Amino acid sequence: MTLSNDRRAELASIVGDARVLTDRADLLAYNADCSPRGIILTRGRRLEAGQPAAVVQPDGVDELRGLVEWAARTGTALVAYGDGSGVCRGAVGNADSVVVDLKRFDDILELDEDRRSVRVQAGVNGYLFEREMQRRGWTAGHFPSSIYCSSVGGWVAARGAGQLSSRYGKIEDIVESVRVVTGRGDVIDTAESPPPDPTPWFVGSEGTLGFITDVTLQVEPKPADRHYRGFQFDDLSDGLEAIRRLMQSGLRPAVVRLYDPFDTLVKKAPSGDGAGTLRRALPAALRTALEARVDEWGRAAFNELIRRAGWVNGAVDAFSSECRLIVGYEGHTETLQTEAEAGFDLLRRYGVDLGVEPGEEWREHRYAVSYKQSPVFDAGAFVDTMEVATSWSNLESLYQRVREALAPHVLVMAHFSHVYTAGSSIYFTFVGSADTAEEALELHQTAWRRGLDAVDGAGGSIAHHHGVGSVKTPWTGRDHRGGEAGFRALKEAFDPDGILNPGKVYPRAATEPREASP
Amino acid sequence: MTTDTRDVTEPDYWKSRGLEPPGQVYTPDSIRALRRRIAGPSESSRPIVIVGTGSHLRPSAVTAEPFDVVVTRGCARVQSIDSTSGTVTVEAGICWGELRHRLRDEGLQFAPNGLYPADSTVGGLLASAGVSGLGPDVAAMTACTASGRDYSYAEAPRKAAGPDMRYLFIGCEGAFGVILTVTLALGPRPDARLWRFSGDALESEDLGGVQLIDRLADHDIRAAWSWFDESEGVWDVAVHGPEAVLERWAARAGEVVSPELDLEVRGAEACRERRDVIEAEQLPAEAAEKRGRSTQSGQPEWLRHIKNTLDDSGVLAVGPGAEVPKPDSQRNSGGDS
Amino acid sequence: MRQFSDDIEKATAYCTYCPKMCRFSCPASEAEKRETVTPWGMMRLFELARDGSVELDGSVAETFYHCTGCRRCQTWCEHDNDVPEALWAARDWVHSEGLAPEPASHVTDQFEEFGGPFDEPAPSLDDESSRALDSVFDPDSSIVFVPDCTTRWEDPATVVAIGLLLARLNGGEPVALHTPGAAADGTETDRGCCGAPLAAAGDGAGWRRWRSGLEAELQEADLVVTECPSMAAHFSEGSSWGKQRRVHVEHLIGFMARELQEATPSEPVRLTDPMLHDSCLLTRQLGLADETRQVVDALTDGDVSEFDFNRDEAPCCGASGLYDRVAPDAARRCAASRIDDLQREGGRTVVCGSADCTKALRGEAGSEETVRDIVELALRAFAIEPPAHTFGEGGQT
Repeated sequence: MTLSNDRRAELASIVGDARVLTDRADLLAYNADCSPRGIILTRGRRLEAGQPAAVVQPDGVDELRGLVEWAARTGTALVAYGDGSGVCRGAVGNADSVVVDLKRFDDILELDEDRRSVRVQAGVNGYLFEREMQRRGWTAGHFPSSIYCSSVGGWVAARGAGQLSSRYGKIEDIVESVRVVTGRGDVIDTAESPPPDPTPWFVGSEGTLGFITDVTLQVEPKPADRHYRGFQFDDLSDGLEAIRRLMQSGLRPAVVRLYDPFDTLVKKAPSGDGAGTLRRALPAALRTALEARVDEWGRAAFNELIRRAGWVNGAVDAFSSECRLIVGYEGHTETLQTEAEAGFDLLRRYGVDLGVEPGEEWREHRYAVSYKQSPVFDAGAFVDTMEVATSWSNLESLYQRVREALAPHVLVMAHFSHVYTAGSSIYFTFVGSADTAEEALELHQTAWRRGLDAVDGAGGSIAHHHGVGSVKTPWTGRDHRGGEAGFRALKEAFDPDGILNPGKVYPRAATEPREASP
Repeated sequence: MTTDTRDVTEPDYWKSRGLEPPGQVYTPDSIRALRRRIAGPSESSRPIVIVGTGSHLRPSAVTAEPFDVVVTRGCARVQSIDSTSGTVTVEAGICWGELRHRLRDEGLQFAPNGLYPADSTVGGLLASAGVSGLGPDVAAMTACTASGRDYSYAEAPRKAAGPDMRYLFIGCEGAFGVILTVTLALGPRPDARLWRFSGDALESEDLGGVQLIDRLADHDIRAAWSWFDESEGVWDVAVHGPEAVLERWAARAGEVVSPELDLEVRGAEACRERRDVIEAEQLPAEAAEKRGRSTQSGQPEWLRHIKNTLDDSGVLAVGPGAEVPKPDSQRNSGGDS
Repeated sequence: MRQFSDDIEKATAYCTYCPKMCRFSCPASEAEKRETVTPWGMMRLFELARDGSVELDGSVAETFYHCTGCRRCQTWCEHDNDVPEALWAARDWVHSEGLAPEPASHVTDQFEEFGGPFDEPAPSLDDESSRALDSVFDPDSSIVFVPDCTTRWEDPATVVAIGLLLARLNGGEPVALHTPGAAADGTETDRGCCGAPLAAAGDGAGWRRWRSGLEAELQEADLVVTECPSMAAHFSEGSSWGKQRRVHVEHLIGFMARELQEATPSEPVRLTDPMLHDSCLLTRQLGLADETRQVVDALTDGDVSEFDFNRDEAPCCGASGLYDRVAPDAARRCAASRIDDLQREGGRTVVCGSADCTKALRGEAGSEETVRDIVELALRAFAIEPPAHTFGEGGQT
């Protein structure tokens, strides 16, 4: 849909002419979030996909309500957009939709130190928000690896998790209430709403039920002390047993990150005479491509290695079993040290204490992983991640089944980085390569289909903290069996015209006017 | 004259709450029967109020009379215990106190945070609006809507697969359906201590319970629960953890909270006994007292829209204050999912 | 496929595939709130335009001008991508295609007509001020002062005052002045500006000619001192644009930091709750963060506080790279944001080392006293008053 002059003028009358973006450069900039699929499309120069009819930048609830009224009248889909760091194409529309960029909701409204909460507008960048909290002596405790490039509203809309989730919880544990403008144009502040509390419906709704404008989050005094260490285990089972025991011991670490053998191999080259050829060569090859731009020869070798995914994955299984753990405690006083030492003592019963250095190194480069994807894509491959979750007793089985499903197609490694007393997430990273963009897209789709079918088959949850977007919609109903009826009820309540991000979270309903899918 | 009984099968239970006694009281003894009672063919034209033990029923949430009552208390089995995951799966009609004692017999315990009335069912605690902090500990659940749709939340400690559909049942007072089974995360199984703070300074406004807990938290001392007993002038705080940690915490606690208070440290058994007394006696009494203050709150329009979708035949007599359509012939004929 | 240097091509590719890790640091991105002008948005557009996947047109070309050249994004870039270097090359390209936006092409006209980025000639010198100049500057000195064009056009009296300051710092020996109306070598020059605005405009050919001419005029100097951070950056190695160097140019702050060890200010200035704003050019392009602090410490009598975002992390006030011409409202929001920082963080005076920053911040602070330029502080600390009537009204032609 090309926006007619009349329609454009209508939008301009709501948000102002300068805040209706229809230039080619603007539409192109909003045709993707940070999903690897979008990058494959960009690299393949398939640029039309995802371009909206227009982008609008409202400022204030009244303008948002005006947009909702306009969309309902014209039957136009509205796609909420924060900082666009999502990796599931949740904020990507199409030529029939209008993207609503919420970044002008950019104030930190009120820090209530007595109540230990902060009210912040949804469009505030996550890092700028947390930095300001810390300047004032507080923290919200939410540190996703996307903190530089994500918005507070996006954290809530996609049910995100931060690296210190073992101490602070996921975003749904941190958020107290939200203020939304629904598809009916109603403004709901869930803090003031009579029961039942609708907050859990809007958290994770990914713009399908309303525009989140403000968020109230719990805050804690900024930690002044930290203790990080690394550990090594003979195999994954030992590592998983150790972190399960740790979480069920009543000790509360801030960070727990157990890397599987492949991820351990890539993170740190093994040392000592025992390190075999594969254990030296594989990480070296991968790291070369990750750390510097490779020449044509290196590029070919890199892609050839990835295309032998089945062989490489099998070789890692055969020759490598060691797993590395990073564990960290953060807190306020010397009581923390006692607790940290108790935790470290427990871990020493299962593995080798590598000391402070690996932990501190991880902490120093804690956001570095997101930079690694550029060299991979530049070298002609692709990388994506799949974050799933289940209970402890099902964890290793889920891990094996997903790995087996992916292994013939892509390199697959994993870490366990959000752990709870009852279970854990598994964060799979997979790397693939193909000759053409079309083949890469197909391979990418195959990996997702095989992977999430395996998750479903193993009884795990398909998403731990990246949300659903459009990439995982075929599986949402398996995670919440029968949940689609509930979702439709919520849509009826909050978005009866189906104008809010149709086709996201759950597959498009027949009654929704248009599909905003890639 | 009515007596304030807690027995939902007694007419006085309803009269004392300003409601007419139900036409029928059903007590299904299996999940299958419970589900059929809610979502299956109707035997009467009256809508249903779902109750566990009735300890948290909010009369103002009942929207239509006359009604029948379905009591979940007959569905109270422990289905399974997963000691590796630290979870227990129960039928939602099981009482909190009973479940805690069953787990204790197995050497297990719940995530220690919070105190709940021993005589409330797990389903009732979850469904009650604004009562339970148990929601985040629900690792899995099954439920059924009034229109006969089954719902199942795949087991996981946390997830990001869209809006949290558990909360169409948790906190919704049975407006849209009934919670059938629940998988709850069990807590750590470490040592425990009961700290008893006393002294005149407890009367001070600065030493209100929330502030005291915050002070402890600021020093990374995590209270599992706390209880201020006004008559005794004692503030009880339960802490859990390995012995070395508990000793370190105890060494700091007095100074952190207030040097003006006396602190007596008791062991794990005292901690457990104190919790039993609070949950079995003091909390139920408090819940009854709170119920007397319950008032009708305004119901938002959106709630009616959800109700109309998930309970389109008006099977359930709980929910938004607006008029619920009367069932004309029969309820839904059964589930379709 | 349009070819650029390996560094630029690597940077555009890596930015294209990056999840926008630097987005919060970009002044344009924060002020305009649109993806298009994030470093990712601009670099990706450049990448796609290079091979013709996106047709170059006016709207695409204009996008490349939403960069202030502040290099703040590089602080958070693990690939060390130099976005200003790449986008200046993109501007060069679109300018050569005749697609530069009007504010950029206007810069070329201004230089051709007035010798600097202004719509009128630099203020002229009358006889009396010429005599003043003779007493302040020495055309034979091997140290040449090239004033910042903003100072030269808008506050010409300060040019002479800086001459007095430099003489004081130079053991009492006057330095030479190179500016329209007072040539260092006794000959006249039409160049009232270093030419950096031409580079920012994308007029690469014009910029190269201008730089060569200026270098020729200054080639006899042992040292060129300027209070213009942009000139120092464009004529020094290590910045986004200063790849070659034929004259030795030093920023006044670097010069002062060295010479203040010998020359002590007579009256350190007392400021009210001052905080130091790091100029992007001084800090990230020239690496003078430490020197700036040394100078401020020497010139003032109390502790100058740090902003939470300081040194390499300091935000840009929006005053450079022609951003204030291409997106004036957004540029003002950048400056206003820094003034907000000042108030939120408990300061009442902001100190900065760039005339352009000072001007931009004063525009939003609403009071001259709230924003203090380091050069002004130096003049006050050394009790230097500019001679009266140094520069007259009217145009220097």
